[in-house]
Amino acid sequence: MTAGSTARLRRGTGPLLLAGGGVAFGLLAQALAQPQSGRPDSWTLPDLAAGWSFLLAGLLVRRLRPGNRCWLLLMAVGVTWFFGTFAAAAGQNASLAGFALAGASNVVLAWLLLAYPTGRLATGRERALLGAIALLYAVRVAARLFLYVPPDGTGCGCAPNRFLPITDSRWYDAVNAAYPWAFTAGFGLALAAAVARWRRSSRPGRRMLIPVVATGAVVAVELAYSYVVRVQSGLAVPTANDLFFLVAGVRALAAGAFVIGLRRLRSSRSAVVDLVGGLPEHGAAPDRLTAALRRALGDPSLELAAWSPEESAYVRADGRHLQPGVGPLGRATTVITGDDRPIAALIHDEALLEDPGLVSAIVAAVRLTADNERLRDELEHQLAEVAASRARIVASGDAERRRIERDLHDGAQQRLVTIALALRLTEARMSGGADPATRQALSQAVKDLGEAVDELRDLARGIHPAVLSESGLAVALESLADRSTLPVHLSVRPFREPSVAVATAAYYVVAECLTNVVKHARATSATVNVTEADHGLMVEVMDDGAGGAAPAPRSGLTGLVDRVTAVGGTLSLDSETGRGTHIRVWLPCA
Amino acid sequence: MLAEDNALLRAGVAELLRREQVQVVGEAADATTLLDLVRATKPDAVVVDVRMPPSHTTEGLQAAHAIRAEHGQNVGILVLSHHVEARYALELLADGARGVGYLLKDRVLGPAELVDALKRVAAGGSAIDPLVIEHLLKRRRDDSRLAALSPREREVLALLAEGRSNKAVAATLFVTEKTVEAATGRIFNKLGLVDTPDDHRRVQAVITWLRSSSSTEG
Repeated sequence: MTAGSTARLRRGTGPLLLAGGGVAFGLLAQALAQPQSGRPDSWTLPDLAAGWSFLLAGLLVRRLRPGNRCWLLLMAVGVTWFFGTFAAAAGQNASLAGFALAGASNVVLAWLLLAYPTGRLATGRERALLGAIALLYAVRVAARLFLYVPPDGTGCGCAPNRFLPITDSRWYDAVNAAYPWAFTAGFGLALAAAVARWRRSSRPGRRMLIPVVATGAVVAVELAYSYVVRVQSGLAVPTANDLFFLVAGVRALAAGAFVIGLRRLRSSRSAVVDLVGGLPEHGAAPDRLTAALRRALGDPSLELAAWSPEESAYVRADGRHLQPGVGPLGRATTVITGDDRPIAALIHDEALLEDPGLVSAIVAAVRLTADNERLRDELEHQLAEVAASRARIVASGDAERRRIERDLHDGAQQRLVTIALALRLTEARMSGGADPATRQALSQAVKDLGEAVDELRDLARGIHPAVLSESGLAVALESLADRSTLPVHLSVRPFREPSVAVATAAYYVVAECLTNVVKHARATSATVNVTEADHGLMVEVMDDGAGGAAPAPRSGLTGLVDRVTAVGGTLSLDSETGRGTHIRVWLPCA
Repeated sequence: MLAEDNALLRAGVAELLRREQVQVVGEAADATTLLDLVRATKPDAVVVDVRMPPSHTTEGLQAAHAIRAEHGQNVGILVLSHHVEARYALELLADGARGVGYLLKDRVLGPAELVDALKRVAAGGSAIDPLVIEHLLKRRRDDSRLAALSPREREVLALLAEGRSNKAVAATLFVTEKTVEAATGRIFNKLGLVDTPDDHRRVQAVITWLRSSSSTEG
């Protein structure tokens, strides 16, 4: 078993063991309780139901929201609930302990109300309030342990005070009379804190707080009411069936309310899941992302301030810089970073902070979007670079061919003509004197040189059509059509002379296509159309041949596709067998 | 007058021309010198290379147009080029220009041909390289009217297009001038052209007809 799964086991079994202990504790309390101590058997089930409902609530919350600490407090309420039951126990010690500690679950419940929904006390005021309530409780515990003088024949069958032989019951009476009101007031303050939190919150926070605040109010009323009844009857614990059932029912209700509230929090998390699924697909403008976040979190006031590297600040939608640490009450700022660099800041209802899981989910969603955008930008940038470098490669190849053609033309070709001319002159100078064989040889040499020049001219043209750079595309295409061994119908509509790269691409498209037509198509004629179209040049080459052309690796057609795409153009091929071939090439002209 | 940037070639051509009893009054290595020399010496004709410094593209053609603009038809212009593109030759003939010629550069190797063209140009006639005409004819090979010509008539048409007179055509084909005249009449008839005794206008008509085959609009 790995360390990880061991940890998971421990995490899973801890709460279960705790709940099991609580259940057993409750059963023990019921077993010890004596009907003759003023506790009828009919109380057993409601008593267990109230305590166990908090244990169950703790388990559920633990499962629903593993990061939330409320479950521990819920279980504490469930366990402490049974303290009061021990007051009716047969044993004197157990009875006294139960009597003294009764009401502990109310203190924990107040704690829970203050700490909900995170399970932690956020402010000093909350801690102070809880401290005051705990002190009240401690005073009463002490009073019951040391100052209580059980009256004869009334109240519980509690043991007599065994620590201090005090006979004067006035001290205890004073504490006993003041405690219910003081505690109810403390609980009321805890409730008021929850209500204030509710008022501060926007929709997501309110959704969570409503059930808890509502049942908190019910518990407060119930506390006050049961104290009134008990004070009137002078009893430490309720004796009337109806009252006990009411108290137990209200507690079970409160336990349910906490689960429901925390469950609602979960549904807002699933809204984040929706948010991630519904993130704008491309070019997510910050305002669209903001709208999606607002919808998902139910916080219409949410703002997204994107990080601007140029200004080194988070820039809000209205262009203002976000001032760190400065904001209206009830608003919180969450900074989102990725790979140690700032991405954006969220300005939102601080209630969202009460669920760290929710915030981290939002942060992850925004970071995901930002990363997506960045990756897309990088990819587009790289693609543009690749396209540019491909265009550069083609252009440099063309430039090199132009250079070779010029070198052939101005170098070898000129030289050959010059030599032939020199020979011709020699021939002319020696006319008369020389022997016929020599003159014949000279003449032949001149003729051969002339043929060499012709061949060189064709070779140079194959390397680069000089006419293209000298007179433009239209003339070069005419020349192509002229030299084709097939009749070519050339139709060139007026167009702005494109860039050298585009003109060269168009020239080679037509040249390669005409070569293919002659070689493969078994056509009787070909048609070449050149028109200006859609900010570019449309070049079409059609023949009436066999069709069935397809680009194969290393074929001329594939070379054409490469050349056309290098300048950002498109090529479409329509070559059904028996219906001729129609190649349509569009080249962009900036 | 001779303009050619390759000194060896220029000297060679000059000597060839002198041997053929052509007086070479000036030699230029670039277009600017050429224009200055033409102004100074007023030659009968100019032989100019298409490619010259500084860009080695079509400076010669531009110089030819400049001479034409400055001196009208007093100076015949013979352009030498390595290109068979008909467009260059047709550009020269545009606007009813007389006294222009377009030859492939390696024609200098056959001095008779060069001198013949030069003389025609100097006299206000035309001289188009046979290879260029061949290309023009090839372009119209699927034209039914051209197909209606007999092989001999096509030969005559090609020679006419080169800018040769009836007499020269007759001499080349070893037939009488009358035969050529008759053939010319038939050719013009078949092509739907109006015959004219003026050699130059006849060349224009034929070239224009051949050129119209190109459906280039612009």
